[in-house]
Amino acid sequence: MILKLDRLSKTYPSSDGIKAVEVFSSLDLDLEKGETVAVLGRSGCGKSTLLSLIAGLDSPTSGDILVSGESLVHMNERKLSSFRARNIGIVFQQFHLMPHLTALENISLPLELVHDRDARKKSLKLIEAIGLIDRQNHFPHQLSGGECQRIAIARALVIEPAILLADEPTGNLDEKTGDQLALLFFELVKSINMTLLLVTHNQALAEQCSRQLTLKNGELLNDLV
Amino acid sequence: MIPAHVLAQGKTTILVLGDSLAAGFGVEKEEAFPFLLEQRLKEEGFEDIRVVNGGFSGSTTAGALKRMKWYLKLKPDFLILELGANDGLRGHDIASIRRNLEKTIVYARERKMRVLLAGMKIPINYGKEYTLKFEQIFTSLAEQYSITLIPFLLDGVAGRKDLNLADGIHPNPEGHKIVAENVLAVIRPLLTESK
Amino acid sequence: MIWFKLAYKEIRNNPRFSLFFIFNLSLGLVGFIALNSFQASIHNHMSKRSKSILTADLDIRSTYELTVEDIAYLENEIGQFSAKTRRINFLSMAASKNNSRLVQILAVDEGYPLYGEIRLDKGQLADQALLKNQLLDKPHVWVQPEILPALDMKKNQELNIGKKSFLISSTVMETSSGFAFNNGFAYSIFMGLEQARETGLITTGSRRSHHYYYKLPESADANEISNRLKNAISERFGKNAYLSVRTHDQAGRSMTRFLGYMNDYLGLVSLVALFLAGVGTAYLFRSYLAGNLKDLAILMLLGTQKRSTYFFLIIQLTVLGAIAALISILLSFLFLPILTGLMSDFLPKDFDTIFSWESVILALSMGTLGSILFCLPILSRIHHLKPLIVFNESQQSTTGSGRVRPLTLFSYIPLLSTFWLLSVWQSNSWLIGSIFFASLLGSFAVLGLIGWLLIVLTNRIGPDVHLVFRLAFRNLNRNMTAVISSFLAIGLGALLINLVPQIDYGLQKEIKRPENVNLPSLFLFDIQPDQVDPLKKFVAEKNFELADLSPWVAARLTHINGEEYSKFEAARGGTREQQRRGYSRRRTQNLSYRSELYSSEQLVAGKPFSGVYNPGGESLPEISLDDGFAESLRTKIGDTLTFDIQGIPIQGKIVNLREIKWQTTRPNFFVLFQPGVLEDAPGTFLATIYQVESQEKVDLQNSIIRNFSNISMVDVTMAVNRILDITGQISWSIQVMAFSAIFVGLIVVYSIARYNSQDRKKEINLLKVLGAGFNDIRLFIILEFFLFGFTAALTGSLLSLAAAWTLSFLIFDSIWAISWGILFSTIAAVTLLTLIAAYLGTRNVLKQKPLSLLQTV
Repeated sequence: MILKLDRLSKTYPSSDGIKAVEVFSSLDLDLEKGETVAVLGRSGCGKSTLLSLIAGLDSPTSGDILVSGESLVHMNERKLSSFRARNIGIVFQQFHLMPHLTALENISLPLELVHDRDARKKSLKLIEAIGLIDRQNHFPHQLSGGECQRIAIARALVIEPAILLADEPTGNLDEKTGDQLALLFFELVKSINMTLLLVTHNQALAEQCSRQLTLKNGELLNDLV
Repeated sequence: MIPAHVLAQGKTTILVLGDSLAAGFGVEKEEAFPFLLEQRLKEEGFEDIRVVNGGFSGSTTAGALKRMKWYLKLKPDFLILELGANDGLRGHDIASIRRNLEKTIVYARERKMRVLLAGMKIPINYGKEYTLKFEQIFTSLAEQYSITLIPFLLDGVAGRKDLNLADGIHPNPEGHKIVAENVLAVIRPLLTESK
Repeated sequence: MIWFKLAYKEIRNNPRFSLFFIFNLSLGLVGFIALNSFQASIHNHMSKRSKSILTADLDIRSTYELTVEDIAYLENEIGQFSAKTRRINFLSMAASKNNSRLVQILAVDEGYPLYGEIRLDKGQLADQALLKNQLLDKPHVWVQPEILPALDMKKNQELNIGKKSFLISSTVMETSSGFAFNNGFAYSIFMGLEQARETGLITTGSRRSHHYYYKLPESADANEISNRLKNAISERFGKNAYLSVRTHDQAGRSMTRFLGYMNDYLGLVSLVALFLAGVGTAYLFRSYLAGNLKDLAILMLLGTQKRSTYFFLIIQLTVLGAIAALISILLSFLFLPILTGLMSDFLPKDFDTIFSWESVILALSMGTLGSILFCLPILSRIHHLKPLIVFNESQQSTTGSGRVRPLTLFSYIPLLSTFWLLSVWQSNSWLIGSIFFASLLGSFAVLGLIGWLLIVLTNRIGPDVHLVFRLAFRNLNRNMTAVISSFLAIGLGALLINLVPQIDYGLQKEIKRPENVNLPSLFLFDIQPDQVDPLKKFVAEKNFELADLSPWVAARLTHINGEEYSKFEAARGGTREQQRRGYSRRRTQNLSYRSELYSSEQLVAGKPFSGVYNPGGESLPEISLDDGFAESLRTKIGDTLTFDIQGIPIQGKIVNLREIKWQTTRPNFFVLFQPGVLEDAPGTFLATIYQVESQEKVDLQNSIIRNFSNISMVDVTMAVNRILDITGQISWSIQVMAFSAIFVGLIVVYSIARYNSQDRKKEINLLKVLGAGFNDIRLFIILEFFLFGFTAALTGSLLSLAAAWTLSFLIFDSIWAISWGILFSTIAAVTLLTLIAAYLGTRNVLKQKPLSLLQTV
């Protein structure tokens, strides 16, 4: 079991401070190694909240999150950070590359943060795999959106995480580039048997996953395709 | 150290050994009475004459002899001794003022100079006794050494606003012209005589 | 008005920016107002002092008694006055039974002195009742205590002046005006004016000065009245009237000179505070605008005219600026009395704090108009703003195009010209103001260049360098404009922070006499050559030493290199008045001769004298000049000078230049001849006597005068103490100013650094998400801030040394001493503060959960 959500609930204090907003309660989910799951849902249904909880960026109101059998809920901020560095890869909608680092440096950044000696070698291998070896010394602003996102994907995968979280990875790209990226993305994920949790409202993208779930009224529903 | 052309000029040399009056305090050197005296003498036909301005603002009789010696380089024939006013204004001892002047007169006479002594007065606020004794220095010296006395150098100038600078003590250029005439009147007969 | 509403909302929605903006600007303005008010207070204090030196606001001096009509005429010109009195001064001989001495009579009338005080023995204050009771109504005198031994008298004995005898009823220990004519040969005697008439000495043919003193109403401008009076006098009494007018400003020349220094200095310091605030403000606004360009673009996309956009921003700035100005005025109101209270130990007893309304008005206009001026160059960016950026993903693409546009350059002109005018206004001098301004601009350029170099160089860092370093260095390159701006701000901050104490240090060093330097107690003039040896012996017998014996030969400079000197002067240019003054000053010289230099002199060019002059030889006598004097004469080594020494021309050749430390009170001379030339020249000698205790001084002076009646003496200790008293008061105010400026500067640096570190929230979050450890992130932030904080501080501080040197040279006549301690502390403090600010600013971000990165719609 790579990921286990155990009766997870999250409640936000409302903006007026009186009424609390319950995003979801008692959510359960199990993800096996190599499984690819898409979570669909309307805007504001709590997709990002779910993702941030799994990424350890936010803590749940109650319940537990286990990644590779370790509970995130009981880790402090510092521990979480280093756990994330080794076990969780994240791809953002907005790419979020470090603007002042080159493509290759962006990919090797997470490895260097954990002082991996083979950072350069591993990153080179990955940048080749995403077909941007000839662009390794370019800075993000010299790259197209699609290229940036490919770098971001490589950066998420370079640490060989237990699970890959992706937040609308094609959301910021035009349709054609998005399709191309999706192709590459799933090819990569499948080739290394990566466990994936994808949050999107793009039906076509979701369909490339082995399972599709919909988050609705605080509950995860199995989609019947 | 003395430019050569300076040593060459003039046959008859008149030295004015004085204080700020001779030095022309507050006026140009060409407006002070020693320069005007030379001009007036030349106008009157005393061609070959030179007046040396040995005036020095603030000087007292104490340095008179030493200064006299300095001017020996120029071999003066006449000495106009115009000192003592600063001594008086500073309230110096009457006897020492007289002594200083006397030494200078004797020294000059030993070197065959004809000496003219300019009489001085000091303002009456110094008190009657002192001012009187001060004026007597000059008359008594002139008498004792039979030298020519210019009774009062600033005759016709002192106390007149239009002939003095704003300080009320020093003559302005117009005042200096009158001072030059005062000196001229006394020295003219002596020069004619020696011609 | 929609725009006001929008501006208001904008301010409310950006509380952090608004707060920082107001905080920053307020601080600068508080500094500005406080410094200006201090300047006004010092001015007020000093003018009070100078009033008590003159004893009045206005003094009309005449050499004869004015008639009632004359007085009425003059008083009509003066207009309103609140009090008046008279004094007659003259010299006379005071006689006891056996002795007589020259004295200075000060015959005073009812109401004297209008300002200041007279203290009699045992510190008793001579009030009006005492004055009337003793001096005006009776034939009594108050004498300077030195007179008593000189005349061999005691208190309550009678002395004669003119036709009248007076009872010595008291001695005068102190007068705030000083003893008017006290240079050692005429001590002062106070008596009643009507009593003095009975001496018979105030009459035609006596030389005296009649002073008519006036006290003016608070609002009156003494200098203006004085000018009016001068015109009226020359109209009625003619051009050559024996009448002069003095205001208290003109009394005590050394004090007004220092006062002038202080005014210029404080004016510039207050500008420094304002400029720092301006730089900080502009930086904050820049960051704010960069973050909000997109909003503006949206407004423009919705059809807003560019003009309206400017309007909107300007309203925003005006509102913020006005709030800041009001806050700062309020704070100054509170702050000034507190400050004065805190410093009451250091302040002179009668020091009053004045609130400078002029600077309040200036602060208000600087707050509103000034913030617009400072932000105008940034505003000009709107002009090039294209609504297209709304669709653009990158936020950075709009900020640093690198190309300088003409409009951007133009937009600096209002700011620069305003600041330039302010500099000139504050320093009271076109030259100094302009140079101050130019050096700030120059520093800007140098700082910008260094900042740019830093970025370019750090960007060369290869991939082998440790990640933390790479992140730090590369981050500098992230946004050149932002980094260069903060580099400029911090560097300039360091410059200005360091500049003030550096000048201060030089100034302090100059006006504060080092403790170990020995000042002579007495200065002796007019020693005749034949008195030198007897005097030496005489002084030695009294167990003192006649020191610094220097020949003193008066001369006129007539020729330079055989050309008439007057021609040189004519070629010099300048106004005729300047020419005349300079000419007579340079022409009349006191020469001396000596074979060696004093320890207070230093040879700066040429070779030392070759020894004693050989009159038989071919060469001219050797001359040594003070280097500053040589410069003002425009002569160099090898030139010949001809002096008329008592009618005899003496020619010599310049062989070396000396630098003289004038503050050592020794007989210093601009022109020195080698020995063997002037020994015969008529002249006198100067000498000094050291280490005479004050109780021995009167005895020594009197015995010298008794035996060498022509020698004049100046009591140096008394004169020096007077100056030290004034400079002591100036020193404290300089220090207060320096610390206020430093405080303002550091706060500005802090707010810049803090704002800057808030700016990188996003990157810190990203690194966190990627799993970077706390320590790594902290290290990289600290490294980055250290790198540019340190470089900026270093560059700024070094620049400030250059600026301090220039300013000292111009304002303070080349008084300058570098203070390494202050230099290093500035660099360390600014760097450390940048780091602390960065730490404090990023601490919260580090603690936060990096949630904001997930932006799924």
